[in-house]
Amino acid sequence: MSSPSHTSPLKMGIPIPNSKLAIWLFLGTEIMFFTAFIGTYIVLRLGSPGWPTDPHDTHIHIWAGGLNTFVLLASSYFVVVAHEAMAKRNFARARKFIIYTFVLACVFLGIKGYEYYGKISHDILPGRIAETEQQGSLKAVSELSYVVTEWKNELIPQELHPEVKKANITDIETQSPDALAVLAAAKELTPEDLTALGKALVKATGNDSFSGQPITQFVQDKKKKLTAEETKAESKAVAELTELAKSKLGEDVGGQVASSRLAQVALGSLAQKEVTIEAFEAQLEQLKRYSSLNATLAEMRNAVAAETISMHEVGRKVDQLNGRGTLETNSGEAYSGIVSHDQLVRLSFEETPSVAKDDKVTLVIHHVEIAGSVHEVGETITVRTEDGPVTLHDGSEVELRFGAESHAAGIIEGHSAFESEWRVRPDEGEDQLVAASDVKSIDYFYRNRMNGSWLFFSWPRVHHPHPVVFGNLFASVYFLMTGFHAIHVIVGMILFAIVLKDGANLGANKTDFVENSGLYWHFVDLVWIFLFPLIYIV
Amino acid sequence: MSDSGHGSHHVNYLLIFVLLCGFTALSVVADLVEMPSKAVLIVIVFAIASAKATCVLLFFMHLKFEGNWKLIILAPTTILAIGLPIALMPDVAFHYYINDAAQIVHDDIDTDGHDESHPKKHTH
Repeated sequence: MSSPSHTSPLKMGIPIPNSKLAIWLFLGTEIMFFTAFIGTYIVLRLGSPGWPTDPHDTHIHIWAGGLNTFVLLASSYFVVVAHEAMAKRNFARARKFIIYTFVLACVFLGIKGYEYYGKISHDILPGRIAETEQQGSLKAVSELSYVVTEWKNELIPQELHPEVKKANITDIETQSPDALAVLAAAKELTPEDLTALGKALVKATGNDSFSGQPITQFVQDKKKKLTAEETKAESKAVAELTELAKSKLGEDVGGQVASSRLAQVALGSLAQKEVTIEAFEAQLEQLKRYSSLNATLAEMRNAVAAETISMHEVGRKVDQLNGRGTLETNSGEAYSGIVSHDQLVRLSFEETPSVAKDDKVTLVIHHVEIAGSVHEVGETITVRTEDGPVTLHDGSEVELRFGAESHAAGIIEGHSAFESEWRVRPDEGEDQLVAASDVKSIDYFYRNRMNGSWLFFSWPRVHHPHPVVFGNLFASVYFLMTGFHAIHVIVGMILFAIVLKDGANLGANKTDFVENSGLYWHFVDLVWIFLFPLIYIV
Repeated sequence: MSDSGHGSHHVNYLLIFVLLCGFTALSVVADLVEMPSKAVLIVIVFAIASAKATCVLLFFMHLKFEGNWKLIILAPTTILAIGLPIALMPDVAFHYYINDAAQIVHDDIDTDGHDESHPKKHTH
């Protein structure tokens, strides 16, 4: 019963390393993991009454998906070659192919990163997509509101000074010319005159010292209730100040010193040598721009709440705010308004109609030149004009509004080589067209605030409203599937890094590891093989 | 101890890779070409995806050459993988009720779940 047996001991289980069994078990769980997400996507999509598929809405490009598929397939191939090399003990070759695999994984993530950047910059993120026009308007208003609040918070510490805020000078825009005029005039004064004015200012505003105290004391504390005598004294001091100011600064400018708070602040600042006129002007300019943006925001917010403005108009306002600025030419002219880089469409006609200013004219298009390339109107071309896209076919009739006779003549005659042009649309008056070579600089008032930027990436912080029905559901499942897949790619890269860490010492002890990493990587590829048609094609 | 079944077969991996690329190109072409209906596109594209998956599984992952033990592991997961969506279909995918999501405007009551939806002005 217990005689020693010469047969080999009973072998339990299948003749594979534990790690291989483990990895297959793990892959089994991964199948269930991804099926949860892919299955959810299928079921939700079948159940949804609609789904965004237009690339303008989803920003999904099949070339990116196709390229990624190719990249992953190639990396799968390389990992299999590496595994074969390991089995043949050709470790240098194996290492080489693992490096190729790793590089391709980086390429995959790079393309994915580019796709995600596109999504994020268009705010195609779950929970952030407007689905109706009203939501689109509300979203634009709320984003603009955020930008404005952020600007306000930045301005407050650097505001002219705290006393201006305390004294509640609300009409900064009307008072600021006074302040600047006073500053400019006061710059010409001698130090003695300036000091005398400063002292008179102190007396008139009720502060009892002028000896290098902070500027905050130059503005009268309204909370203090004056007695009849104090009031009389104050009036007298103010009259003396006005007299002195008029004699030193001139009738007009001097007269403003007593009445304009901001002018007093400016004068005091200069007397104290706290602020230069350039800095003052720059701060005032910032305040003016902020006030203007704030006013536009308030107008938009009220209109959206009252539903008196359409979403397209909201979009147009956002574009106008982005474009508002000043354009300076090389010849020193400056134009202020909405700056845009327009593609001017030059149209030619069989007959040249005579067109007067503001005339509306119906013309038959025979020939269109867009950005220097000529199209015959047998083709269907879509052309962007001021009023929106216009689709032209052979024999199209288009209504065009001409701003000025010479402008109309220029367009009608034009076959000349197209030059890139900048257009500045002022609030009143005619558009200015400036050739690109003439532009010296452009100062946008709000663009830097309405858009975020880092390195060479930029994204809008106030988006042009673009509602996408069922967009949030789409974004949710999209990021769920591709995000988890990308995480698995990163894990695979870690596995390859562990192999590559050995460097030239890669040996037979890592054969199983390479095989198992390869299996994991093939699985990642498998998931992508199914994700590609699901996301990019269907 | 590595699997000793390696030397007994020879697979032309490069050929498989080229085949896979060809299948991928086919699916891109299927997307660009006009199909008689969406359903046809879906069937074609999934057939191609399954073919690709089969190539990867059989050749790259060596299922063709190694024992059937792997199928024992994969069987329950596959059953679950297919079974779960099927189980959810009646509740989520098919509608026996009128869908009342905020985005849908009901001009016409349509219970097959594929009525055209269009944005509705919604004031919250």
